[in-house]
Amino acid sequence: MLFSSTTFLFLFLPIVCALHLLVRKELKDYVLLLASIFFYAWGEPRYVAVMLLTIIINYVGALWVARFNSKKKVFGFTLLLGEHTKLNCSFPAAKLVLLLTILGDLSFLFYFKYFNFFVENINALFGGHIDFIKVIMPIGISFYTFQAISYVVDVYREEVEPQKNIYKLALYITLFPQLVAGPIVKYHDVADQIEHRTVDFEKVAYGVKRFIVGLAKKVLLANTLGAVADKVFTQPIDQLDCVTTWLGAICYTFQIYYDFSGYSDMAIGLGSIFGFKFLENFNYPYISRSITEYWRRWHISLGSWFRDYMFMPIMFLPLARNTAISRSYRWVMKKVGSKVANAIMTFIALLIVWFSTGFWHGAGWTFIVWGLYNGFFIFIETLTGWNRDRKSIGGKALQHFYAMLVIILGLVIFRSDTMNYAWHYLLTMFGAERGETMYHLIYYVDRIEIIALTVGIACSAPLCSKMLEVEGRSQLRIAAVNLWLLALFILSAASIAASTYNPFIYFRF
Amino acid sequence: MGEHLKPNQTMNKKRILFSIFLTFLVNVLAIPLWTKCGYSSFVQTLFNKEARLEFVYTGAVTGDEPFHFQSTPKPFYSSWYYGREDDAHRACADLCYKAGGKWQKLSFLLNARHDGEVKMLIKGSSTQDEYGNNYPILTDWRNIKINGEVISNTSGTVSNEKPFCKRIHIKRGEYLRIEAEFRKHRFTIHDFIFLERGSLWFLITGNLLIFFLIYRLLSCLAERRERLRPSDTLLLVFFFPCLFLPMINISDAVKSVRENRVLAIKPKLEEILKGDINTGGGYEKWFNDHFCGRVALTKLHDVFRNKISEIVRTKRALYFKENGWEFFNPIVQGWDYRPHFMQSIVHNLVQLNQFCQQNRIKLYVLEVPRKESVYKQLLSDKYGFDSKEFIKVSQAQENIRKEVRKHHIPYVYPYEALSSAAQQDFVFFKWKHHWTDWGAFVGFRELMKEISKDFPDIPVSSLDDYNKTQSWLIRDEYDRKYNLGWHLYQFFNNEGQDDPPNRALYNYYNHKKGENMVLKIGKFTKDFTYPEGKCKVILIGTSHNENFCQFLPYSAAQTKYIRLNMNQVGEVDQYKVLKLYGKDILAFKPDILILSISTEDLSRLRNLCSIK
Repeated sequence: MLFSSTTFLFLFLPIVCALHLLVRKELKDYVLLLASIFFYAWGEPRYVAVMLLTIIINYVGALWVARFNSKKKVFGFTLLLGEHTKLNCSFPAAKLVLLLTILGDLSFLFYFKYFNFFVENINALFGGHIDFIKVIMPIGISFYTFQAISYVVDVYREEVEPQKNIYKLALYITLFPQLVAGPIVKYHDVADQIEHRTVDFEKVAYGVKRFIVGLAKKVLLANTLGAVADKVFTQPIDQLDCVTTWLGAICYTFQIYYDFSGYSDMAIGLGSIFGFKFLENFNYPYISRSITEYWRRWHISLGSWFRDYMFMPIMFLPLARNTAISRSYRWVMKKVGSKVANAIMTFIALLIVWFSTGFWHGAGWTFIVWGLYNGFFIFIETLTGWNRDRKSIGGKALQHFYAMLVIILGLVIFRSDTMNYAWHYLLTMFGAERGETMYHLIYYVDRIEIIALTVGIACSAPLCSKMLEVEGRSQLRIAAVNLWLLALFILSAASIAASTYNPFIYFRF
Repeated sequence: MGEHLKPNQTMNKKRILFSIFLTFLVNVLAIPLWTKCGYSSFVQTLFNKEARLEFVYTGAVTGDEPFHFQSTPKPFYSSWYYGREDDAHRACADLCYKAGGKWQKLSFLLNARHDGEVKMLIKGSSTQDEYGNNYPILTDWRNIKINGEVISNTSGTVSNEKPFCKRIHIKRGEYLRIEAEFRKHRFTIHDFIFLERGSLWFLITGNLLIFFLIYRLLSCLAERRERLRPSDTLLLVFFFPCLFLPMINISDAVKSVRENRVLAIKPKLEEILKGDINTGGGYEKWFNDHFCGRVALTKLHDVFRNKISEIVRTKRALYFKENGWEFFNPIVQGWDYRPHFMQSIVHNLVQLNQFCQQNRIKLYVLEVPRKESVYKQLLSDKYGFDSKEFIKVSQAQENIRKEVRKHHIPYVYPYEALSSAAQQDFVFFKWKHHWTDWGAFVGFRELMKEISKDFPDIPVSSLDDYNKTQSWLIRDEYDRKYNLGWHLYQFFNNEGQDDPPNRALYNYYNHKKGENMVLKIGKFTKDFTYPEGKCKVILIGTSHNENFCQFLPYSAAQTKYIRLNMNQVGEVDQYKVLKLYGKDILAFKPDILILSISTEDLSRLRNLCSIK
């Protein structure tokens, strides 16, 4: 069920809101949990089992991690390597359980999302004939798996207490506002809210406003621009010219932003209606002046997840006592100096993180290349200091131009079905190749699309960033904003309803 | 809302009274909403302003008015019209009178000019709901008398769909005095229970809920007068009911007249519980087609879209606001121009020709050019459309024609003739893909040139044999009724353009000896018999032939027209001519078989001789 579908908007949401409002405080969590499971089962009931299994694995895993953590229990064994050779191994039990739990989480993700990708590549590389598995990826599995990992790692790090009530843990993992498209809520951010949260008028009002903003972003901007991008990207590459490819790339750049940030806004809004406060997921990424800044503003929850649970642990690896990595790091440091050793370590960490980031977005080479492409620019920026603030307007403009160019070109790779298509698309963009244009430009854009693109570009800058603020604002201003939001809501609802209008013209009854 | 918003424990008298008043106010303001909720008869009858009487002459064709009124109370609207083709141009008088709350008397004096039968229908007014179905607007009638004889003295209730009907035999020169009384229908609880689609209990529950909601809101406002922002309160008061509105009256309509399609049906519970992938999909489709206010919302969307766009586009069509021309989107109607695809079409036509030769039938193929081709200059100028795709497809289609002609199959493609005729008059309708009568005549002339080579005796009508009439409406469908032009209204969901500025005046041609034509109409066939014609012709083709049948049957002694694109079978199967109609063709034993299809349907001929 999509947030921008009639069934969600006019059936599921009002019923859940009404039930949540009417039931006693102690039952609110259960209402939300049941609603979330129903929400998930609506599309794919058979995969509810996968999600429930993930919940159970993490519930049990976190309890054991906490138990072993408190007792500082060590898991030890002896390996017999020969008649007279023995190897004594010891491993913190909590860490072992943590790794097993994460492995359990990732195994579902691997099976459903990446298995066929690996089979395809192994077959291609070694000429094998391994059969593909007939499986459809469960919706939101990438998001809830990361949330589950965040929970068990937070427990391991003793940042939070393990959740004793499995229903509350289930609520954290399945909560429908962020289940399908994020933001990836980290457990330590909402642990307290799951236990103690209040629903008040102001939160509900803010949630409704935020939801409307998100809905309008998705329906009015992303869908309109998406139609243009789809028309361009579904053309064979030899039927596109330079102008059309730029048009497609720019429209897609804004489509993906409004689509994703719209969903995040709706999720944050819904969370607020139900008393949660989720962290922001986007912060005007297209005003960035470097790719480093862009990733601080784009999909913040994913970026911070990778930072907290992957980048930082990798960077801290050399500091560990007497491990192979720390010994190697010290050896390199002696040879080339700490600055270069640090750069190498950063490079390795970035490589792993950005490979994973790309791979997380999809099981395809275009995603992996896109991830590494971003990592490459971030590494270069870190090395050269390009991401430092410039004082002159010209310098700032140049930085902004550079960032947008890298973002747009990167998203071409992201959007393309194959690397070959992406390559030729990029060549066409820069005039190195020129296809036989099949259609006039007006086939792709008319006034509506031009208006949507103009509004999209304008709203990607923080011109109306404080629109929803109410503190210290006059009643008249709040009323004007609310009226505008109502108009947006009606327009969005009309647009959603229009997608159901499907005339059959050939013959009257 | 939530924990903060707890209602007062004690009921406040003033607040109750004020809540009752506001509930009443909401009810008055929500009259359109109650209509949507299924209380359409009550609401529409409340505002009903008319009662209708129809007098339909059902005797033999007369050529003039079969009866007239010596005296009638002055109606506020009246019309005389000739009926449909299958009614053999019979006459009908439609009289509308203003209806009020009190009984009104009507008295007519009808004078018969021919022998026959008059069908008197007493109806309510006609209004369509959002799906194009009629509302049951009701009118009460009583004391119906004909020449003083009481037909019905008790009061009855009629609507447009369920009229009171009385057949009266008339003789030439006879006078009939018809009397009746009518008024706007008075609703009773009985009507609410048995007539309205919406339930009485829902009405009561809805009002109680409105009352409690208002009461609670008033309590909250009183408690937190200082903390609440009025505009935020209003936002929530508007937003949440808006979310509930679409589900309060899920329409039970089976079809949508406007969309010309059957609506999705509600999946059965056992199907939902099967637990298969995308279980909610069926339910979602059903809800998408039936939620309350759907049509109003789609219209709102389309009004905005149509206002903003210079060229209104849907997936399948383009509408140029500047000049009022509507075209199929030539891009979406894209064509497979690969050689094997074209060869399969040629192969099927050759097979059909072999079948005809074996049965001593002469086959002619008539391909009606696309409106987008004939008016390509207009399309190109306005749309900037010089698509290479379109050119490629056109070339592929030309190759098919050449290939078919190589097999000595007469193939008529009147593109040049139509292009030149387009300079004189409309050869296609502006709002539809069908050709006009003039366009059909040009096509007929070109076809007959070819047929005359093999059948020199066959008569060919000229335009002098026809009476010309004019209308801005479109007559091109199976029922031969005038309509507004379905495409424009269906594609663009555009009711606001009932009288658009760029409408055109079309010429229509009716044969002067039309009364000599005997026509039998079947579900998907029409059989014409014309004594002055020669040969037996079977015409198989698509909807373009509706206008074509104004001309061809006047050349043949017997013409059997089979329309292919009717939805009795699936879209793919309906072009399997030999499979579906092979036996009919052999039974009819025609001299000539004309396969008349439009260019956009050319690709479908690859199934022509398929018997699977």
